[in-house]
Amino acid sequence: MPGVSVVGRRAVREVDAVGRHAAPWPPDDPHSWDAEQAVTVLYSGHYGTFVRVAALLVRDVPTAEEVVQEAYVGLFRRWDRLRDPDAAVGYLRQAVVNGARSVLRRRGTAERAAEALPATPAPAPDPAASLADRRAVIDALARLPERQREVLVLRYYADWSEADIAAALGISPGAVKSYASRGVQALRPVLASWGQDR
Amino acid sequence: MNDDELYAERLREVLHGEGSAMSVSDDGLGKILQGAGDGEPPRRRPSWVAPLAVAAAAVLLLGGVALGISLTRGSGSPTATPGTSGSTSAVVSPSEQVSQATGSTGTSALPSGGHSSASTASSPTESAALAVYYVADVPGVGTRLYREFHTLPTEASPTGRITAALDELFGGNAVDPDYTTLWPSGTQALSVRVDGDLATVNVSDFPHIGEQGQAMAIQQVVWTVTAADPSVKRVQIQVNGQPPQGAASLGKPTARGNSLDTLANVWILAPAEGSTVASPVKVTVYGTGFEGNVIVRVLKDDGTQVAQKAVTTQMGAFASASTTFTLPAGGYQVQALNDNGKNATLLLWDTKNFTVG
Repeated sequence: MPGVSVVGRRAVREVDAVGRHAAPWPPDDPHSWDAEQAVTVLYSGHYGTFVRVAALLVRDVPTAEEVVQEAYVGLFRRWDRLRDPDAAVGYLRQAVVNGARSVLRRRGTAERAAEALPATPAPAPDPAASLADRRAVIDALARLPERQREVLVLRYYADWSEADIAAALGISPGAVKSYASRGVQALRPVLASWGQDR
Repeated sequence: MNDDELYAERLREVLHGEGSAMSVSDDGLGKILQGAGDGEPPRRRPSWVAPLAVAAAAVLLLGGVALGISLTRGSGSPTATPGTSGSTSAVVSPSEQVSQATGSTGTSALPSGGHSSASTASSPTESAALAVYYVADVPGVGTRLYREFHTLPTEASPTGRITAALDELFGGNAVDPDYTTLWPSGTQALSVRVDGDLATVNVSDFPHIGEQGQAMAIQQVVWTVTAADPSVKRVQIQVNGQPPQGAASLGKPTARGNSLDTLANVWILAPAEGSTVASPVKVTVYGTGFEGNVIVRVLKDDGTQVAQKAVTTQMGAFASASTTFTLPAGGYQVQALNDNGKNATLLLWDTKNFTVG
């Protein structure tokens, strides 16, 4: 912090008598937050990550933002029942994954088929062009079965624990391991050519 | 590294590259609160929060920006959110949730004989947003406390939460680079015991920074511990089981110091340090000042001042307030100062660097 002209403690003392019991906003104890406080704090800590997770699933940032905003609105409306920021994060995780899944289902079979079969062949992997390589991996990810794609994004991008992923997807931790393993196996051809000579 | 791990690592690299290339707009909070208000009956609000909530609601509903409270260590980094074991993160029925929330306030579920970190070894783990109090030197004032919220893996017990918050505090990993900790690096919370309203914290090291600095280091611990477990009102420090060396008062149970002499008088809640925001930029401060005045200045990254506004918080009590600046794209620093009302001198309390995209 740069220096500024200063004053002693006198001015601070002047307001001492009434300020003695001032408490920070929002209160230290998250369990005492109201819905607005909870949503505001959880927004600050998690919104960006949730949007990126959702965007990796639906491949579109504006749609991902809508999905995540809907999840937070849902949290706001349920806060009086939840009253627990830790459980709230679990709620948001589940709502974001479900929201992303609904978007993909709403987009319909035709569009997904079009995405899966690009009109022009993917460019040959070029070790110098990491952006194009990354696209190739992301495209391949989009063609994976729903659960495999979700588990890979949540595990290798969001860094959620197996238990958290299991809770969000409503599957067992063992199934998380299995989807992750099969998903990575399925991506091996495209991952094998990525990141070489870097 | 076997083949599977190699490919998993490559996938991780691809996903993180893709994630960091995404531009997320910063107007989500306003939309969320607007959406939450649509068609909803008036919300119930605890009476104690009413005066602040009115101001806060005005702040949030008018524009909607992320408050600069760091819930996650390094909240700009998508990799920083610690995982949890999942025991509390699944959505459970309302009745289960109520009892869980009551238990974790640490007031009604405590064994009558006190509890300690040793007795909670088998507690399930969870991820909790915990307040961590760092320090910064304020020119002309001295060392003051600044709060950040960090999401930390913790045992699901009051002493587990205290230990997690203290380890984070001792680690000194504040998001704002101006904030630090007075505790030596490598300090650990060896044990935490809570008896009634007294927490006894046994730590592995103690700062050698003079009595005044040591007293402030203890205040860091006291504010952080009492935030992690609101039933605790006083904290007694032990260093490897012994009273701290130095003034006798350091080894006595210590309560939170007078907030105006202990906390920074102004915190900038938004924009967050290092964030990229859209113009108009909403600046939210939390603090106090003579007649409630807090001066908010915006400087370009070359140090030239481009704007200054005054906002009104409260005199003698802390409150939040906000104002808006229309700024062209570029790098900026926002500064929050308060005025003693006597001779037009200002104290600089907090700064945040941000970018207008």
